[in-house]
Amino acid sequence: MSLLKTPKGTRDFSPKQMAIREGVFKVITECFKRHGAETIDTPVFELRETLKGKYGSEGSKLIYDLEDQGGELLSLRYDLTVPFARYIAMNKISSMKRYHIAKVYRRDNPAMTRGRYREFYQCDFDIAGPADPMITDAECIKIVHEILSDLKLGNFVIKVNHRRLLDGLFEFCGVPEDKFKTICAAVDKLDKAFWKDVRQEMIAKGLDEKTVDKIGEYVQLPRSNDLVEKLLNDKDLMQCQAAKEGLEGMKLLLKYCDIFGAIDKVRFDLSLARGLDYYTGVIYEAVLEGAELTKSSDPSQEQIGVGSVAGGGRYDELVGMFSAKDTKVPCVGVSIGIERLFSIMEARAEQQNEAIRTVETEVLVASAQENMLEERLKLCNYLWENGIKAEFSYKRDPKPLDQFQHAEKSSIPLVAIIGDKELKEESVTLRNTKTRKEVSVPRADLVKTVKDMIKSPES
Amino acid sequence: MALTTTMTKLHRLLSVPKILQHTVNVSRHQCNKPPTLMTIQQIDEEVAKLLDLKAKLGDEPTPKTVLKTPKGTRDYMPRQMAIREGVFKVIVDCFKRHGAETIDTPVFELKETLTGKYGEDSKLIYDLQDQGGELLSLRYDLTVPFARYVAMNKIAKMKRYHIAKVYRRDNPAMTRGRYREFYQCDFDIAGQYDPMIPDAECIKIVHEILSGLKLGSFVIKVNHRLILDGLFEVCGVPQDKFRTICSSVDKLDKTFWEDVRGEMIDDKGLDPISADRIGEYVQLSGE
Repeated sequence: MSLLKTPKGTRDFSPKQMAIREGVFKVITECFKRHGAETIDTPVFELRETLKGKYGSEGSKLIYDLEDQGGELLSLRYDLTVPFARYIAMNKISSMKRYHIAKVYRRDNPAMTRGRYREFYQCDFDIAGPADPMITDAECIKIVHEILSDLKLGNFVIKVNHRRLLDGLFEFCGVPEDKFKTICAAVDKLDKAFWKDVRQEMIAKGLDEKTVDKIGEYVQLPRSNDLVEKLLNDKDLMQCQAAKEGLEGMKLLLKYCDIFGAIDKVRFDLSLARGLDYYTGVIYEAVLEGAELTKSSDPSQEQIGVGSVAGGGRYDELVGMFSAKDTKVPCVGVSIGIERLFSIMEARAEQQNEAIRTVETEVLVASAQENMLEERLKLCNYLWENGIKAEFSYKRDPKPLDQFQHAEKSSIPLVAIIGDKELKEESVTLRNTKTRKEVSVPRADLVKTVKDMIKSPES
Repeated sequence: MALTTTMTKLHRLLSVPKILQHTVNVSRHQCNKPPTLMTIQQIDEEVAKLLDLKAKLGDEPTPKTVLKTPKGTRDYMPRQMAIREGVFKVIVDCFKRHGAETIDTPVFELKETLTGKYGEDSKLIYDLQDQGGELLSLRYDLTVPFARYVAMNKIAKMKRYHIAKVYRRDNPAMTRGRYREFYQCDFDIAGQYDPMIPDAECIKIVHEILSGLKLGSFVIKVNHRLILDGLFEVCGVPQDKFRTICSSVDKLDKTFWEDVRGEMIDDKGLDPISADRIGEYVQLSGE
């Protein structure tokens, strides 16, 4: 007898969870389609070489490798961005707006209670190809705004920052260029750690105290969109080309977000860094209010809340890493943290004791008499052929009570009852499961009556 | 350019029958391929020739990294995705019309869960590297994960569908629409019921889907394992040869009786009288 479990960090989706998942996907794909995106799919594994050197040393450790069984060396995909860049380069695509919803794999230490798994969905929207500054970036932010609003998850904030601005800031504060990445990763921890701890980390990474404190002055500035204007007036900082570029970009981005009616949730945040190596421009991250991480000095302490529910940014160099002739295809994209959204929706359904239907059956074909199986089959078939979702008991002579109970348990709105009387009259008795009211309907009107009753169940 | 256009067209033609093959899983007791595949094979040969020509062109400069998907896999382009979405919709609508619910399972299972379920074919299972922790393998089909799900959750009855990718380290014949990563689309009814009622519903589902996809005429062949067993018994086949003789009979849709008869006698050691008695029956059909 083999062990009955799913692998560590993975789970099955029950019909109920699938119903929730389907609902969330629907909201998201409708948004993507509204913005004119097309979709692609890529294999679940890639050549190991394709993934190598794309995720930094931390990320690379988490990649699942397939066993060498002869042939190519393969690894499971770690995200959808690298496969997308590979796709763009391989097919020599110069511009594309695509979404991709699929599972990715990370050998992380899963905290499943917090909605973190080793197998999880990513839901990516990316725009590849040249565009004038900040236009496509703003559309990505608009998309996050639409999806989080449509899912009705409560208040949220979309933090935005610019990689060039961070680079400029580091340069301005005197961070040596080879330490940009590691200092960036330290800044990124500010949403869940205190400044004094991050400061210690920076010093441990070899920065001198003066530099660290200068960084501290900036990243601790109150987070607001006015700050962009304030920093643009910071003459010293403006001496630095990268910082200037970043800030001017930010200003333009905020203007477009305003036009798109998304500015209410957008907040410029100098401490937002986002760990991944490949970002080159605007970066953003959406956090649900009340779900922001509680800060802690103890790294072993479990974080509370769901944290980020969407994130992304501009990555102009990634496709070039795959291309033969250094063809640059600038890209900007966003990834919706859909697993976290599932967890929230599931918890909510649980809490509110919502009855979630896992089937869509509209009519249960039933009989109170014996020897009616063939008549039930005929009637059910008639309903199927007319596009009505119908089922019947697989028992030859099911008990009437069992049939009605099944309709109630599965929330099947209508029961179509037949017996000798109905056959003689060429009619069907329709029973409303909720009200238990019964009406006799001529066979000829059945389809229309059922469709009407499904549309307005109260009448 | 012309080459590319033709390729795309052919690809499009190919996409539909590929799904079609998988819907056959709906009634998993039979393994006959739909008759439409005959014409598909001809298309396949053409595609193979074209692919060959394309390979000979070889005008690609050497890229930094090898730009390819792993052997036996492919990307789905937006156009193929649109076709796929359309086909899935017809199929899922049908499953829902019949009151089915859906589940999903992880893409990998404990290696142990898959061990001993696939006989000879076990060598086609993709294993994950032992990186510490559990030993894992990619799923080979959706049936074993479904059985694991039903057992693990102690489910007594369920009507479920599952559309997902499965993995086989087969030697892929991609030109014939066969891949190492491919979709399966399963509908199963689990539970104790009166005879032939859910069985007939499965056949009805195949009928609805193939009609719904408007792929032209089709036939759903049916048989019963018990009839075959009874037939073999009557014809004097020793019980330990039932399975192997059964797999010979299965070849009749693409081989002549003479050759199948030869295989039964020469390779499988059946006595010629038995073989001829089987022949009398299996050449009958209920047209």
